[in-house]
Amino acid sequence: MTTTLKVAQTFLAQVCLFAATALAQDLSLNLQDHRSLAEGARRIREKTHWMICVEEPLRASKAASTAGQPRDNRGAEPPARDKLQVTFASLRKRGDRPQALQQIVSAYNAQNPGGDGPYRLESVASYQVLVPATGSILSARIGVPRAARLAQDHLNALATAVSSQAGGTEVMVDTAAFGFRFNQAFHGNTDLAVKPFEWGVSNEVARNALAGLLNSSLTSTVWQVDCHVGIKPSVGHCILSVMPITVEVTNSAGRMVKRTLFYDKAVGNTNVVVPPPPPAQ
Amino acid sequence: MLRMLGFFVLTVLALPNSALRGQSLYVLSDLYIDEASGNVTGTATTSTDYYTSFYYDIGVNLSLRIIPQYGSPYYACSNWNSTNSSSSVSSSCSTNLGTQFADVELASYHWLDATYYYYQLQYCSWECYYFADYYGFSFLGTSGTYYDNQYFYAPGQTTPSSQRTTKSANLYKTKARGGCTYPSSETVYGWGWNAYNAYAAQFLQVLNGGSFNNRIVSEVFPSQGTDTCWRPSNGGQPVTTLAPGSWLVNFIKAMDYNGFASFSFNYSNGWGFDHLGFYGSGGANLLSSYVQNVRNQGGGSCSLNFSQYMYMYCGLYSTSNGGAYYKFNNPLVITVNATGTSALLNSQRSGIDQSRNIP
Repeated sequence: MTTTLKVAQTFLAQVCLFAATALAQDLSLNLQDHRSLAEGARRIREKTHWMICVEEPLRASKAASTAGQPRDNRGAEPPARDKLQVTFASLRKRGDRPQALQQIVSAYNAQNPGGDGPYRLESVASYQVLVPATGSILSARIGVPRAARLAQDHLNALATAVSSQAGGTEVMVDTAAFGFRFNQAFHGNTDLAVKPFEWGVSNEVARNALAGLLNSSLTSTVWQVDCHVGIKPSVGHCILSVMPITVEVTNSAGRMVKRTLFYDKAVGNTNVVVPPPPPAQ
Repeated sequence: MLRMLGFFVLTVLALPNSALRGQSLYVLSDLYIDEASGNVTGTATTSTDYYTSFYYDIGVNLSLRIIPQYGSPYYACSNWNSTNSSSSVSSSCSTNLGTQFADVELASYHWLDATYYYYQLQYCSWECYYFADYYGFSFLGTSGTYYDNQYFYAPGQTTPSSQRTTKSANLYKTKARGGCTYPSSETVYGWGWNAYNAYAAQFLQVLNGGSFNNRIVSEVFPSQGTDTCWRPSNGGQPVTTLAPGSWLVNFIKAMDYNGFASFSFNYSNGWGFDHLGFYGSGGANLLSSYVQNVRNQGGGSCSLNFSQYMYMYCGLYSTSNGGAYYKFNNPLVITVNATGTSALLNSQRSGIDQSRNIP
């Protein structure tokens, strides 16, 4: 596994280099769309590699849709458009993180009165989570029977438990951002890597349970909760998306490019095969 | 070049535009590694067709870069050559690796300078004489970086031009020294849809150019892909990359995807399945959302595009001795079409398509 180790070390060196350069930048956000807060969090993740998650509140069904509002295949609507305008005076070092994240929360709350807010910032393990003050579906206490499953199935079991605490609102798991290979990204990509392991929780806040589960992944993973408004008689639903981190790095040609981090927590792990990067990228 | 002017004018008068044959350009390179002695030789050639070569000056420059298993990479040698009197020019350089294992990279730069002459492109007096690009050389699709030998062919349409133009191409090849050979190509078979994931297409691959059983292949996505299907209203984020997989090359058997128990696919040098599509209930739900997005905009299509690179390790069952890339920039495309009440999913690997209706 010499190659794997060497690659992983090179990769980490790149990430450190990135951190040194990216943190030296300031960032302005001027967003106006559905889910501006989540988009703002994504852009900050790209610049800083901070593990930021966003959770929307559970939404009640309503009688009629807003004209022009897109509907999904279940007849549900996304939340109304919102906005986020903020300039960060400093994203220069990791110590700036609490202040920067508090700034984004304050700006969003002030600019969207009557919207989903107010939001607050919550720290869970290595994550910074933007949570509605009224809580989200992940604020409930849940129990997931301990059993041997694949990572994707653990997530599904967690979603089922969350759904049962959310008044029957369906909670679906979305791992598409892994290119539909969440199990490989979690367990490793050799032939023997993907195998069940035991996990379960009892009377634990769903957010903490999720953070604990994702902590076992070989790939840094964040989450986002998106809830759609049900148009009666349809009920709304929520999507729990788990996603890898995409960051900006300077490549060997000196160009700033985006890289999605896979297996960044797998240094020395024999369940992961990662070739060196191809030439001239 | 001037000596050819008379012949040039005569030829143009003799052939109408539509009958002109285009000019062609070949860029080639190869890398030879003698495992016993450690001798490495790189060669590179720029060629144009003989008939038109007297209008062009061609050249080639190549270098060999060594990436040792231990130690820092270094440039071992470089060389160049050019001609204004021949249809082909080559250059080569050599080095010796001793006993070390290393990746060897051959980078070659190929160029072609064209000189044009005055020609009356339409009927008039002298004011509409131009330097004329007789063979449509301006339309050659060069100027890129390529990982296989290339053949460029101009459409043969006479067009006004500046007096001199240059076309160039970079060619890049790599091999590993360490008792290893690598596939020359890969044959791709579409093999239906996964039994448990209705929208995940299966692709089987057979490697050509040697025996590669029990070697490990891995995929790499060095750049971000695109997802034109996603909208912020979907939540989550667009699918712009894939978690890289790895496979063991072996004698591979696969049942007919229509459910027949007989092994209708039975080859050595195979690997797979490489799945491309939407997994699980979450994936199916996302696919439905993507179909809805297309319908919300009045129908049409959207797609997810990825550029896959394939790497093979040198050792049997092992990744410890490095390896080499054998396939570059392989397109993976997922397309979602929606027209009226019908919807279609298409997954494409290496130009091989698999489609199915979405209820």
